[in-house]
Amino acid sequence: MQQAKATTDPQSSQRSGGPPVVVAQQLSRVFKDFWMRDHARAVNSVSFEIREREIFGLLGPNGSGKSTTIKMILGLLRPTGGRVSVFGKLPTDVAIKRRIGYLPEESYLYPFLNARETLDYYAKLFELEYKTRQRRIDELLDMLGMTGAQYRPVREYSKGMQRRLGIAQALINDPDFLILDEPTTGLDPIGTRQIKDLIIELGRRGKTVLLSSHLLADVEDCVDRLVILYGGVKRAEGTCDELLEAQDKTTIESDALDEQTVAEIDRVIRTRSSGDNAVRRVSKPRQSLEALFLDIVDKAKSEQVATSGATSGGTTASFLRSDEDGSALISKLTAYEPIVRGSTSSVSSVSSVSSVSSVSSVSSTSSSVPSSAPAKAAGSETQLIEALVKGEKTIESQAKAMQPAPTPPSAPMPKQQGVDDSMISSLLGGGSAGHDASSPSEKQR
Amino acid sequence: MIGRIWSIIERTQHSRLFKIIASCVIVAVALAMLIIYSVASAKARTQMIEQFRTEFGDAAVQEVLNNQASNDQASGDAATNANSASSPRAMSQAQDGDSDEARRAGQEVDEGARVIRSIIAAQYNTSSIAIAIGLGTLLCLTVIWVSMGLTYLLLAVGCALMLGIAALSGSLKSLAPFIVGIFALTGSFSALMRLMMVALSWSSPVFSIARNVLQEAIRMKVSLIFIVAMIFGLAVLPMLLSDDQPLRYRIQSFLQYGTSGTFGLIAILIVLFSVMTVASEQRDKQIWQTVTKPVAAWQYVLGKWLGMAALSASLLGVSASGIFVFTEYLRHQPAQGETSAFRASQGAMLTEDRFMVETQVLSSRRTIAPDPAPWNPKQLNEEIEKKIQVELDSMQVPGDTPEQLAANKDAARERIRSDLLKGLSMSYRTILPADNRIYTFSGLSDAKNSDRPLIFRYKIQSGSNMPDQLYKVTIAFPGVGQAKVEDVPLDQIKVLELNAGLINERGEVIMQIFNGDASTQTPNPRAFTFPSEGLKLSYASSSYQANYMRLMFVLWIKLLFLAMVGVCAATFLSFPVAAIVSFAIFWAAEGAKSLASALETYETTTLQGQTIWFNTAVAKIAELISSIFSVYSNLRPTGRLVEGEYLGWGSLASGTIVVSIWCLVLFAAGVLIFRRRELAIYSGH
Repeated sequence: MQQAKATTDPQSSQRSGGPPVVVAQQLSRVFKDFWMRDHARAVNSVSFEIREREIFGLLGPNGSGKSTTIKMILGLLRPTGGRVSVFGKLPTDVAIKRRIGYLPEESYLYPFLNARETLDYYAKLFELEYKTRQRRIDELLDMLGMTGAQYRPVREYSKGMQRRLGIAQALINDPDFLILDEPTTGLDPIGTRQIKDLIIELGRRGKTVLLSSHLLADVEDCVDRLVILYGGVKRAEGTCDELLEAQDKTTIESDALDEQTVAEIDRVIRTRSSGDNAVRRVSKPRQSLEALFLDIVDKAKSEQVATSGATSGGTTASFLRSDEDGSALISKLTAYEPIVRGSTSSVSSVSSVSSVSSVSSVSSTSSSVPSSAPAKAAGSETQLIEALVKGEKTIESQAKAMQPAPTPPSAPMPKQQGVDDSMISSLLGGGSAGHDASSPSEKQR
Repeated sequence: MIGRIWSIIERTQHSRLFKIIASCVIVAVALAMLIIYSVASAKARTQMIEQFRTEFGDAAVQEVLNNQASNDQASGDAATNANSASSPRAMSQAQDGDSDEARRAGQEVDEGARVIRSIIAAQYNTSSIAIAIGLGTLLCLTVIWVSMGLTYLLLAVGCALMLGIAALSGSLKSLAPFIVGIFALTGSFSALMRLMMVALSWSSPVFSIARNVLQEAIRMKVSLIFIVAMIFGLAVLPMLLSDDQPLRYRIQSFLQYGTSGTFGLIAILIVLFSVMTVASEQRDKQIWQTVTKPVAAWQYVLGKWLGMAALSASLLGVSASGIFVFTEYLRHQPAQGETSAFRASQGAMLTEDRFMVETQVLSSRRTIAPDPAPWNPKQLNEEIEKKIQVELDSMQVPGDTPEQLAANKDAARERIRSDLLKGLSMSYRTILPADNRIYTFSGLSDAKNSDRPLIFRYKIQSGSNMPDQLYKVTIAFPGVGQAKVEDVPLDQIKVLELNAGLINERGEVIMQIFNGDASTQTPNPRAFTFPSEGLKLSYASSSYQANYMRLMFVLWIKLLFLAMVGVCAATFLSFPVAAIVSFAIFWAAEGAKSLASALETYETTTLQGQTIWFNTAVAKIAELISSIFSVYSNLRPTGRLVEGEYLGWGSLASGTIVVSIWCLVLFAAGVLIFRRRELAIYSGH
């Protein structure tokens, strides 16, 4: 098991400037039986912080204490040891609840209400005005593809539809701190993709998100930092890169190569490393199943095939994307925007120790998902603004970044350690300089 | 096609223009109905006066016209004029001999005429009809402005169709009240609930939670069953009344079963639903998504209770309106001996049945108990000391120390005093054969000028109360020189009407009761006793309608208390346990009065004076329960309604304050417990 380093992700630290949203110190929870004997130690001396504006992951297998930790953060349970604070206050403080949105592991909704009434009920708990309520309800229902089913009672909904409604109620107050406990449970891949894009969107907008899941792929795509629990104990903490990067391997991606070229590359590597290193594996990257699924759905939608279930939804609700009075728009245009995380692109890659992979094709399925398009476009615009401010990119690369290409631009790969730039240059015949800084890299799912 | 028509209907009844036009039409129709009724009743009154003139003469007619001009002064003027203007019958009797007896007979006739005049005045008093028209207009306006006007119009058309079918099948008379009742009650309930939802539509946690409770009540099958049962039961009840019975019994039966039945159903629903709405949210975890919003514990509990309050107000409003309207309908049915309402087939203007309906059933009467026995305190204490000495002599054990003797004496003193007072009170209400007793009823000054008779209600018990035995009871009024001999069955309530002239200047009625026929000196075989509350004198005070509203308010207060019990019990108990606890409290509160009565005869010692510890413990618990709920149980709204008993503003206020304090205490306890709950741990597991 990788041990977490006490380093912080530079991106999240740059986003978070204020006090931490959640501080847990030696947090413990022991459940007792009727005779007050210790029955189960669900959480055992767990300490962590959730910083402002970061997307924090809480991972662990079933029964590891994730939901119990969340319940203590929300005041649904009292810790038997340690302490936890939210926005500097106790979890039972009523005022802080205005800034929190919570999606429990199951959507516990009122079966006798319909979607509209459900959202209206929760909106009134925040004392929202009528017009604001109606606007947000409309936008959320549209965003989650529930507009057609909004007048049906919740008891008639499928699990996925109930889950979407649960997400909507968690967002109705435009929370500063969003807690999502297994948000993608019951959702189809479209919905899952949408939720992940939404989380990233919210993160970009400066929201703090606590994401709890045992679906690792969902968490990996979204979070800045994460904690892994097992048996109520924290086993690892850190950023994805810190925890997942293999330091002893290098991945290089190129266009399709024939066998002779691969052999030549292998010979060069061996020569340069005196036989210590070699090309370990050569393969063609695969499109992910999610990307294929989304492609098919997108095609069906363009052919206008009918469906009675939830649709893929529309764009992210405007009140979640921006302040409703538009004041943040100006600050957004002039503020630093983080680079879009690589989670939105579906990329295949091969990792090897100083090896080069042959890439026959690179495709991104995310570009065919309408719900992600605004995020991608927003990401492109963000990069453009960044470039204008910092003056790092050429006009040509700017134009490329603006186009919603099948292969959307993703986060530039950090400089790989242990890779000899001159080697690459020689392989490519003294090709472009700065290739590593600007070429897109795609992670294999 | 139907969908299109329905969408047109929906759009129309939502439009503001339609609402304004419909409202104007409704108000115009209501005013027209009121005017038409006033004109028609004036015409009918004229006919009654002509009949009255035949029996009582022109002078009495002039009094009627004077009284009709001002209803507020009717009682006072009639009382004054009755003494001066004698009826022809009274005058002729006076001319016959001017004897005391003739004068008394004349006074009785005058008194009867005065009562009849007031009943006629009440019959043609438009206040009841105005209230009914007003309520109906308000309901119609509510329906229109909650965008259900055309829907209800369609319902009315449906009702008319069903009535038509019933008419064709020849069962209109028996089915009409049921059909109209079902539609009217269902429509009223829907409109009221819609109004409540609109009233609770503010954007705040308390109102949002309350509104959610109402929606749950309408849409969940459990509560819907109770609502349907209540509406159905109330609509069916009139069909179960037998036309052969006197009208007063029919009205009393309807009031008794209608009020107690609907209150019982509503109370059960309120208890069950108030528990369920809180307990089920905790069990099914919907509460997690509420308490993780900015909702304080007190807001949650208050919101749930407010929702129950609105639900109980709707249900009670519907049932109370239905009972009131149908009672008025029954009142205008022919009584025994009448060809039509208020028109006797022969003889007197008003039959006995009609008279009792108007003066005893649909009335509001203050009740006075006789003054307590005039014991001499010094004499009482001497008697107590004598008995203590006798008892100590019998229970003294050789070798007892003086301290032991003193302790025994103190313990015995209270017990003997209590037993002695009970015994004296019993003996004061007991009359031996050929003996008599004088009872004084005070505080009747207000009744002196009333134009309604006094009602003397009494019950005698003797031996094993054989149902076929009749005792002779002579009731005399020493100050006035009147006496009546009654044949009284044992253990049954007997009612006697007395004229207000029996009240002396001090506001007292002094009554001398003989065991037997005093005129023939024939005593009964055994002594008889008036049980507790077996001697009551009552007089009319306030109007039936106002009293009805106060009593319905009392019922609502009780339901609010039950709702608070249910909500607070469910904050920390699971559904079955909370329901049992709530029902236990409900039955204890409702039965406190019966418990207090039973305690009077409950023995806690053996004949030899030994304490029965189990009985003593039971008695202590029962005393505690009856004392806690004494105010609640003394309100007795259903009993008062059936007996036409007055509930004063003072009693209403004190009862409301006491129940409100209980509600506040329960609310505080519920909030404190709820704040400490760990809602992620369900107590039912």
